[in-house]
Amino acid sequence: MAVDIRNVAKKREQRYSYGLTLLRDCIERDRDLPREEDIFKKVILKVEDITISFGGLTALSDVNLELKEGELLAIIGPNGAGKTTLLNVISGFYRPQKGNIYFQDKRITHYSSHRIAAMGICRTFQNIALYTGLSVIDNIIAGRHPHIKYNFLNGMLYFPWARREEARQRAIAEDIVDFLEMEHVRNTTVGMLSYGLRKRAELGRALALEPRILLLDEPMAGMNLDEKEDIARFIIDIHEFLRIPIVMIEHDMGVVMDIADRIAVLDFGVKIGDGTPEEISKNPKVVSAYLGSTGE
Amino acid sequence: MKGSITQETWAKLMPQEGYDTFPKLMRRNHWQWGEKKVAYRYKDFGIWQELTWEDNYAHIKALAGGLASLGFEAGDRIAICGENAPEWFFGQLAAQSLGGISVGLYTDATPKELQYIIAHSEAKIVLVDDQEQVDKILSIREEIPKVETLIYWIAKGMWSYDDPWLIGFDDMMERGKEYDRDHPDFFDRSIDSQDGDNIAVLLYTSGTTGLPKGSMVTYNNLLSIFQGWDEALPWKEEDENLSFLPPAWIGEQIFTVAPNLAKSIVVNFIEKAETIQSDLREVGPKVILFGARQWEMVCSEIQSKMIDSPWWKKSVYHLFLPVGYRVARFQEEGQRIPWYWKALRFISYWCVFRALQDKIGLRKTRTPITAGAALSPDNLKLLRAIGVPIAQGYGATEVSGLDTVQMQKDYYRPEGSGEPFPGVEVRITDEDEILLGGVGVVHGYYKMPDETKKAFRSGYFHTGDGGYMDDKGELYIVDRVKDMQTLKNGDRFSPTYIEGRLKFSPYIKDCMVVGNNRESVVAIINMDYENTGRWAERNHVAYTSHQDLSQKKEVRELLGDIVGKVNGVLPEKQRVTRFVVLHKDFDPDEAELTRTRKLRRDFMEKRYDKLIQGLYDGQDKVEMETTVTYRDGRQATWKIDIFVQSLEG
Repeated sequence: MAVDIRNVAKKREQRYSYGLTLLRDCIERDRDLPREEDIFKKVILKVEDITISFGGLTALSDVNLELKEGELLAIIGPNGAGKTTLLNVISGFYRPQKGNIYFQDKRITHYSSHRIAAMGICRTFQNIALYTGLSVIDNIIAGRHPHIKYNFLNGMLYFPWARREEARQRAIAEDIVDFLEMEHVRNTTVGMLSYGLRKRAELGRALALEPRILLLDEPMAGMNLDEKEDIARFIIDIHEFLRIPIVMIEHDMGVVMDIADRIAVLDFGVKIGDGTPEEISKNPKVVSAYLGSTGE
Repeated sequence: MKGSITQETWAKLMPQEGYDTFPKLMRRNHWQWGEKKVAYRYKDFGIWQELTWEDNYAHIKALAGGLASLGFEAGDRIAICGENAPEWFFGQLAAQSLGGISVGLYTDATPKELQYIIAHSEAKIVLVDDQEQVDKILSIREEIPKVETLIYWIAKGMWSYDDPWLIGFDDMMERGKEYDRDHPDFFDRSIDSQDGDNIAVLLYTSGTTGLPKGSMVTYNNLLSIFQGWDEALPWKEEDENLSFLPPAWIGEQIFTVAPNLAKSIVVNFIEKAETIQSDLREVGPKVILFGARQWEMVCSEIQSKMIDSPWWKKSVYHLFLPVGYRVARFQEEGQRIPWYWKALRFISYWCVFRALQDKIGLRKTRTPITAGAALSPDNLKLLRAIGVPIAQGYGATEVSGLDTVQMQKDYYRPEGSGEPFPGVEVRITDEDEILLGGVGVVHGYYKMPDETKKAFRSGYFHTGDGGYMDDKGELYIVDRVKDMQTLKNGDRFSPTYIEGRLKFSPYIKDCMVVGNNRESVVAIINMDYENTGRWAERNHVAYTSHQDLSQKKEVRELLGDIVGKVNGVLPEKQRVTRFVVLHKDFDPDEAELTRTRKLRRDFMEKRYDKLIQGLYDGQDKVEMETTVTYRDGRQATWKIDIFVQSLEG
């Protein structure tokens, strides 16, 4: 799927804007959005010969993967194929026994998970990890933490500049709430929300971090068709408008085939396929892993 | 022809010279209030943002300029489709300032429905809110060749659209400012060139049959109906209003646009359809017009919130609720409330109901109105009991909206639909059809002379609703005229109305009322097995099966009481004289009901012919032979006795 990367040069008044403009402004202030000539070309994340085993079980063996600028990469595979493990390795929750991970040509294999998050590799979890006692908006503001520009003391004494900063962060969070269409639950504690809305809130928090790369672990699991369509739309919008490269684990083949630029297939810890949706759907190895061997 | 309304009343209700159109009133408010008064309030970033009359004027003028620059002229139509937002009304008023007509579209309409209305109204410009609507309009682009431009106001997600047919709201205003520089005075000149007889809006009503019809509503219609309303139940300048009804519905025009312009009340726009509850509470509007559906939502929220509240709150609520119900009964019966009940009401108000009203956002509400469909008496009573003086109303798009409403705060009838506003005339024909006349009757349907001739005759609009008026002047709606039936003596009655009343009881699941061309009205009732079973257990009535329970004497007496109560509110000739409790439920599998659970009357009358005959013959019981078709196609037959219950009086 070709990504429309037409630059949205015109700045509009907030009310008539394309949405997420405040967040985009914040991102643009910190770094340049990827240049057009780098899209689909420049490798931003590289996974090299990763092997990890738990006891006798090899979860991943010699997995190689590249994520390019502006790309939406889907990872698919049967249960227990090692998809989530791969995300956990990338985000620093697990240490690989062999192999390396490079982010923008920098080896990050042995970085701690919070350091990797601070570099801009943000993720959502399969079993949602939010502050259940806080409201949606507070959860999203919590995601802004690395970007808040006042220190503990300022915040405690609530100086005027701290207050201004707080208002700015709240505005960005509201921008995200507006984008994810969660106005009606902004003040509801996350624990009270349905599964689909919690997933959305988690996506919102990941966005608030101004991610350089977004890792999504089954963003549509357990949702009905309507909710899936909404999330798919949000993912496409994030990907196209903010030009954030995304790695997404998803089981719904319809969605994956529709929105992914490239698909990687894992089976028992081994990468058995990598290519465009069309190539993957014709790959005999993938077909046999999904539908069972044909006995050849 | 002006019916019984005198020339004087008529003249009094007509809008003032010079302020007889919406744009003129808008301009007046701009002169009068400028920056000093808020006109619109909407929510952005979770915070209420204000637009003063100055802002509104600037927006409308700029947009009007933009429209003019696209060649929009007097008499042209603009079709608007979107959720309630300031831009919706800016679009309407900008078009009207140029002498144009606004055509409202419903946001949940399918592309095909949109296509019909846009093409039929020959709209030149379409204004929509977001990507969803833009995509819908784009998908029917080929079929609406007269549309020259599509304007949108929420650009969210639309960065990759570069179709020159599309233009953003802000770009339109930019164009408008340029146009204004080149054509000074264009705005004032075009506003001054119109008068109250011009058509303001084209409102399409689907009706249950046939194609949507567009009512041509003039400024005079809208403003004089509003004037009548204002006279009966005065609006105040400091009133707040919540805009959430679809603006394509006459209700929103008469309830939001007219008071905003004529009385300069503040209009608050809901943030999203899902946030009505919290917006309602934050705004605390003085006048509310809800459909029955929304009131049901309010009632169920009260009940569910009560279940979740701590025990001491619950017990206080249940302690005082009977007081509310007793006072509601006084109001229903039209009696004066004795001082000790008043005192109790005062206490319960300060202990419970005040807080409760505050929670649901109705504490400041002076006139809560329900219209559109009948609200169940249970909900009406609950709302009355907690001190919300809910009033029922009735109206038609063809008579500019709300035409009758229950105006007395301390008296109401759960079945009634209120008294006509000044300037509205209600007549009942010999066929019991309700005719509406007076200042609100519109100019007819757009481009449909035959339909117009049929519905509008000698100054009255034929609603097609059947009903009657009691001696106090309150209107009662019974049913659609074509669904009403006639007894042998010529009296008309509505089976669905009686059935509906009966079904309000938890013990009656379904029923069929028979009586067409017969001496009296009889009923076949399906009891609600679960609820009746529970009642039987509590009252020590032993039973084995549905069939067994249905023929118990106690059950017949229980249902007899319920039917008797319903009879109490029906005119004497239409009362149910005898009924049977059927041994089983009506079943769509046996073709007794349609799949949408509507009765198939003709089929049923044939099927239960023997039973109905028995009801009229005055037998005590009827022997029924029933054939049951099982899912696998086998059939079984058996005989049972069904007992008949008569009602006295």
